Amino acid sequence: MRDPITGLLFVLPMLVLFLVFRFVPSLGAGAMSLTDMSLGGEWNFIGAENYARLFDDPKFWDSLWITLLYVAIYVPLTVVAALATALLLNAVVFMRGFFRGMLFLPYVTSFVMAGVIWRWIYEFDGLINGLLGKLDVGPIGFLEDSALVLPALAVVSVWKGFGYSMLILLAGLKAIPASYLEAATVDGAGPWQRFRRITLPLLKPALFFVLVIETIGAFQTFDTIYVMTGGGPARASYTLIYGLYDQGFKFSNLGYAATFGVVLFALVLVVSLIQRRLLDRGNA
Amino acid sequence: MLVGLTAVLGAALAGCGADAGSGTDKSSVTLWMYPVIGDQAKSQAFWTKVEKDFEAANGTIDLTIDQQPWDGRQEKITTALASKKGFDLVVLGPDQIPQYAQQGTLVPVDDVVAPAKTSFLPNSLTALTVDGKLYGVPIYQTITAPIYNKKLFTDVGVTEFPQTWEAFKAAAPKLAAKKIAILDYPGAPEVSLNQSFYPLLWGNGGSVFAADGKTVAFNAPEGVEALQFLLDLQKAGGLPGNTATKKNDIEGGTLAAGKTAVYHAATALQAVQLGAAIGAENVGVGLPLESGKKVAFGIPGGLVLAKHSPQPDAAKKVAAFLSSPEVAAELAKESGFFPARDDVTVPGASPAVQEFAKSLEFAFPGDTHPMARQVMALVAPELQAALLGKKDAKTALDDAAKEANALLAGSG
Repeated sequence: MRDPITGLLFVLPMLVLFLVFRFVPSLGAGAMSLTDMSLGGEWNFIGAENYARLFDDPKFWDSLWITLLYVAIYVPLTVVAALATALLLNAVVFMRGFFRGMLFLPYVTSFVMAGVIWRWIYEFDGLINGLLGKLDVGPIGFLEDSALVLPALAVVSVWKGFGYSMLILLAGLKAIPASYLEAATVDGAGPWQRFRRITLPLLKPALFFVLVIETIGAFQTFDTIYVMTGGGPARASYTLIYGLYDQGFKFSNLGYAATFGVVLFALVLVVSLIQRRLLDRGNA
Repeated sequence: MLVGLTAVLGAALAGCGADAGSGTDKSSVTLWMYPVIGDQAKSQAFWTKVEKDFEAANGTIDLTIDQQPWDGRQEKITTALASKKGFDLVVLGPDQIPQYAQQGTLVPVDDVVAPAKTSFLPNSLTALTVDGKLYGVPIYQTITAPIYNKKLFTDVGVTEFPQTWEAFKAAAPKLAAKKIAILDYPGAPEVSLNQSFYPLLWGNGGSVFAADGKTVAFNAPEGVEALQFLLDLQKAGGLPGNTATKKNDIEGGTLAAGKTAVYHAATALQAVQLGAAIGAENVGVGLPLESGKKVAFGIPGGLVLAKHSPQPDAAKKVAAFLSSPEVAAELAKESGFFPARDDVTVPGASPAVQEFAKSLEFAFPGDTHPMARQVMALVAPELQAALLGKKDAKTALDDAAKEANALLAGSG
């Protein structure tokens, strides 16, 4: 069984999928970013021209800033939501499977439907403004106000996506031996101390995995924005990935769109490496 | 996981079955059709019948009419053409055709209309022609016109529909006093400017592009005045609160709820939808809103042929069949659009549709420029900024023009 060939055979299906659908296209995008390829398929090699144009493009810098802002809002929010629900589920005994299913439901809901429903919730005549109206507040333009649109979109994405991270954290919680917590209780530790000193440190690997996955996901968020704001209002939710989409599919500049993709890839890589470094230090 | 695997297996087996079933000398043609017939059940019945009728008359051709949604249309077509897959024929408007023609992903279809060329509306053919070659076989002609809620106007003592900008501005405060916005302006960037800002621009004598097509012209005084008109209305309470981000859906929208009074660039289908919400007797259909010029956005729907189609001759037969007087008449009847040929009588057209027909003489297919859609994508966010009070009319349009001109010059 320790034969490396056997091992390779076991991972081969996944490896082939990864190479064909992830690795090769990534290289292709890198190559495409050095060309002026348009929709028709004809292209010329233009070196780093696309990159020079990108760094000169105020829209790129705006979209970079908006992307970072979005990540900064989304990631803490979703990790807290996932952790809180995982802790709740771990504590609940009554109909746990049912609650777990209900909380996971948004994750398997179609994004387009979720987007439409959340538009209704956020609208001027929508649910939230209807309730606020009873308190004589508002109406608040959640999707109309440039300052509110990113948090509003982040809330939708969190609602839609926290279920996956919740399950991972729940599995992490289940893996913590009950004897540790019992011993701490015997020693007189309260609930907060048990959470802070036992649960959280032991949950760290799962927590960091969730952090990395959610960060990568946040950088690539597209569907929420596409369905709900179209990058608006007045480009207030125009992220890097939306810029990529615009260049590729509205302006047919596939080469320039690939440049957005390569920069995003580099950005995610750097952030993931930093997170990994922090994780290693945390484990040491 | 298991479910997914089963589905994949099932699909693979079904694929094998289909391959084995089709004959060797039968060519297949795929057509992407859009919900030009609004009612889903009627649409399904109509296109199934077309498919059957065609196949009955052409035994060697297997026609598949694939129903596509309007949403994401541009992206899907772009992707299909780039990957040389998906369809042989697709319905496109005149503002979308030039860019694809320029990219060389479409082939001309002059020979399809040649036998009956004089029967087609000249405007429809011109709109679908690029560099002297016809790229779309017209199967219908659309027209837009203002639709309004008659009751809201009579309730505030306005007995005649305000046909000009001045009359509009005069009526706006009367409606605003009752918390009704006069104009249901859809400012969401997803809404085509052909159904929001451009009709105002054209009605004021402006145009999107300069005559030579090398620069844009929407930031000329005519354009700035058109945007200022909207901002003036907004100040007078004449636009809904969410105007900058609202779409132009009638069902579930502010117009159907009686909170706004007019949508200035509606289709006949939208008039029917409004009738369902507020009662058909309350729906008025006006002539194009004007400030010097009456212009109604209206386009032919053209069947275009992808260059990658492996059976262009079979596809051309399909296009000829769909543009025939018989099919055109039925399509016009079911869709509420108009036939693109003058040798067709539409059976039993409704009163609203007849009102729309009055605007046909003002039909304008929009600025058919290869970059028309791209320029729209640059203008829409700037209009939004103006409606949100972030920029004044001139700054917003100048900013959009700067980006658009850079795009046209090939550097932006």
